[in-house]
Amino acid sequence: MSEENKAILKAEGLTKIFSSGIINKEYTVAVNNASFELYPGKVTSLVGESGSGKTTVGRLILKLIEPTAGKIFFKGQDITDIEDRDTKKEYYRQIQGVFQDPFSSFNPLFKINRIFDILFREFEPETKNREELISQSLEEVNLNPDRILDKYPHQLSGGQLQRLLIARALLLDVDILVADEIISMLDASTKMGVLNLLVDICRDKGMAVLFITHDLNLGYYLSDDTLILHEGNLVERGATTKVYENPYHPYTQMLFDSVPDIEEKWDRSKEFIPEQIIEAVEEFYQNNDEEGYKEVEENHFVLMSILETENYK
Amino acid sequence: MGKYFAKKLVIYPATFFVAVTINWAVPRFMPGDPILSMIAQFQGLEGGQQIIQERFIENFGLDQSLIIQYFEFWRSLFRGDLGISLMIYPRPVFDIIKSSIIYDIIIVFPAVSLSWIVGNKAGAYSGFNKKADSFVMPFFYFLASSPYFWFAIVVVYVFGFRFGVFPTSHAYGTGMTPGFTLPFIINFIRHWFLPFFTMFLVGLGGWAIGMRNMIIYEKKANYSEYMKALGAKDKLVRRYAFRNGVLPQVTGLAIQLGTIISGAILVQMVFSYPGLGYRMVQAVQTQDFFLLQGCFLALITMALAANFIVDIVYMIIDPSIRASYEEEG
Amino acid sequence: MSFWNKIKKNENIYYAVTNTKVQIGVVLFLLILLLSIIGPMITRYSYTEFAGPGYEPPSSDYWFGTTIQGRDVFTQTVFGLRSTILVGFIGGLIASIIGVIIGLIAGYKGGWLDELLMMLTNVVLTFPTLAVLIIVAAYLPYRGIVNMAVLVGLTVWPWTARAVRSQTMSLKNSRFVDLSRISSNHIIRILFEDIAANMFSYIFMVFILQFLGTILATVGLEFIGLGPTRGISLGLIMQQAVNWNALELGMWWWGIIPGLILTIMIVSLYFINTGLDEAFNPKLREF
Repeated sequence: MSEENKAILKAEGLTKIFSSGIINKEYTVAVNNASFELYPGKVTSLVGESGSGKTTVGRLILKLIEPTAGKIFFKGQDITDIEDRDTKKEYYRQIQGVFQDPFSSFNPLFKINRIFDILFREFEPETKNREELISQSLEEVNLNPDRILDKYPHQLSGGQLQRLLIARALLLDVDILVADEIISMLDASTKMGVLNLLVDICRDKGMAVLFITHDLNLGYYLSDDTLILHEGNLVERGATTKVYENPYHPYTQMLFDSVPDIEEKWDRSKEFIPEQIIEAVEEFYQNNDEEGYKEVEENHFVLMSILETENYK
Repeated sequence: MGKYFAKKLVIYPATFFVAVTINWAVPRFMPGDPILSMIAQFQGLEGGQQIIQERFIENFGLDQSLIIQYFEFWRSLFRGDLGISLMIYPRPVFDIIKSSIIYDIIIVFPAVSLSWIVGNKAGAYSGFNKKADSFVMPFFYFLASSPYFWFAIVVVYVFGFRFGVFPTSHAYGTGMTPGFTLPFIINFIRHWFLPFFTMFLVGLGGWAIGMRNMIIYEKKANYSEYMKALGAKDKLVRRYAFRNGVLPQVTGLAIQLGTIISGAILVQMVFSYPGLGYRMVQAVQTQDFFLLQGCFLALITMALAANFIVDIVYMIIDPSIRASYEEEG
Repeated sequence: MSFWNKIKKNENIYYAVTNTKVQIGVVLFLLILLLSIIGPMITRYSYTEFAGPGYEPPSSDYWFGTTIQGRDVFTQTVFGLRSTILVGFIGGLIASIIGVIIGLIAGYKGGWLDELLMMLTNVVLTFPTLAVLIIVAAYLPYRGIVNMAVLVGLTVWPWTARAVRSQTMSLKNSRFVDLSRISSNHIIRILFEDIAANMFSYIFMVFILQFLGTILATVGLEFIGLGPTRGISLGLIMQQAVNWNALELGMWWWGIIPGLILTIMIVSLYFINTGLDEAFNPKLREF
């Protein structure tokens, strides 16, 4: 494999289990044995419905929470267990995130330039030409520094705030960007602008983007690789074109079928009840004898049976 | 289940442990060595001085190392030996406590229960009734803000002297012999009434305010609005809101117990009502060291017992205790 | 932009200032505060001197009447107010600081640290405060305003700790806290700039409650005779009234008026607090 094709981030068997309650402890397996890779210059979309665990995956990669099991490799190094602030800081120099709700991503009491100030203070305190660099980043995301920097978050629009958060990641010139449903709360007219921006900088800077979304069409539009998540299990992964044209796993098939085509009209027979999906998926797992992932074609993998979760009780 | 109980069960012994330790440590580590100065006080006592000095040394183990003193303290505690009162010499402290504790219980228990029940009802009524609310609320605020002892003073003045309806000090009249005779019982109740009344009214204010705020909050809740939209009778909506409001009030009761007992001490002072609080303050004033310690421990134990009861009540009322905090599994 | 400008833009402030309960409470409180500041300056007597004949009911010469020995009750009250308010304020400050710090750490860190701190909080909470104060104060060789305040502050902080902890636990899941974390922001800054700053109104309200609590605890101690060793205090006035059988002798002004002033002050603080609660919590506003 050539240098450019080497994965910049590798997740192996990532598992996250939440426990709640005191008297009768309840365990929720949010993510079960997810393994995937992120490549520089490529957009990987992580597709799943709400509750599928996709946000949890994002938070695991960003080390906002610790995995119950599994490993994360960054540029070949095992970063799963790093805990001290300085090592984490090195990691954050190379990976950043943008979240779903632009308004709750900013501390409402401060002006928006705070997010840049924190970056400089923590990562490059010696920088003398801060304003210049900030202005540059803002221009890269099509924002006018003079009209933005002095404002409070509530004075700006959602689209502007998301661009700001992208500019922030650009300032650090990160290698990986985790974008968690970054346009789902924006107006239709602003969505495309932010999306195109994302793709541009990904290609231009050679950034790896993990694009988390529930929107299948977006996934197809944007990404080079696709990961399909169902109830914490990574059921299908591979090159986007292959996964979309040839969905193999019953869940993926149902998912694609349930998206109304812009040319189709309302049709009752297209409706799926959740129980049908669960039944179909269970049947699928039972009826094949294979374990783990099967490579159904080049760069296209399907989960044939649920991987066993590590004993956590 | 286990973890929840385990946590609860640890807190009580832990608190008791801390209390005993404070009890033991305070006189020893205070600047000015109170113990020695206390012994010095008895230089003048004939005959008694010898015994008291011996007692001091024995109970304090002053001739031994600190660690041994500490263990000795615990040992005497388990033997029920809390020392001998200096004020009412030579009555054992444990004895005094035994005879005083009844007075605390008969005032605090009924006053707290009644003020909680009546206060919650009154607060709920006020919460549902906008007109009544503006009249009644300032009154409740006034009650809740009154320092216990000040309100006692007011009650003493108004009912005790101005209108002379009730006696204002002690548990029963001088000259009355305790017994199950009717005249004694009546006299006893008359003496009991004002202290009880004070604690009842002041407590009432607090619960009323709390419940009223809960009701207002519940009225805005989705389920309330929904039920009303469905045409449910007002009474039904109120019943649900009340039930939801009661739970935090039970928790509030547990939290308030310390304050209530503190208040009881002060009320007993005003009425010279011979409960533990009264004895404790007397002990301070006469520098009756052993009695002071004994009363302190007894009060703490009472507080813990009361807390425990409230905890059990809470568990019975809310079997679905799901403290929903997520643990990183 | 300056701190004050930030406040002005805040809609919470608007609601707080226009709330009736807050307005009434603030006026009452300021009146009493004024009394404690100006009172001692305008009174003709000192609180120890024998100002006139004893047993005097309130009159134009002796606004609150005189004690049995002939001391002026008004003078005693206003000086006592100063002492009590000071102890209450310092104690409330100490209690709030301790409570906020413990609440922040327990709420943010979680895990065993949280369990430990909460256990500590519960232990302190269970103690009848006055009993503890009595036992410690009884052995203090000297009781001044400051060490009384510290003592009282150290016993009432659990309430703040619990309240701050639950707010912290909900705030720590905010996205902007996440962003601070992936910016490697220092934890102290996160705790203060992101979390505490966003519950400022809440902390303020809690401080008012602590202030009120410490005043009540202080007055209780004073009443028992464990107040500041020197000087006069409200509780002390009332203790003397009771000890000299003032009520039996019909001298209601001696025992009741000082306490009434105190009660009014506490009522005003409760009003402010409830009003602020309505102002800051939209759900309660329309009632």
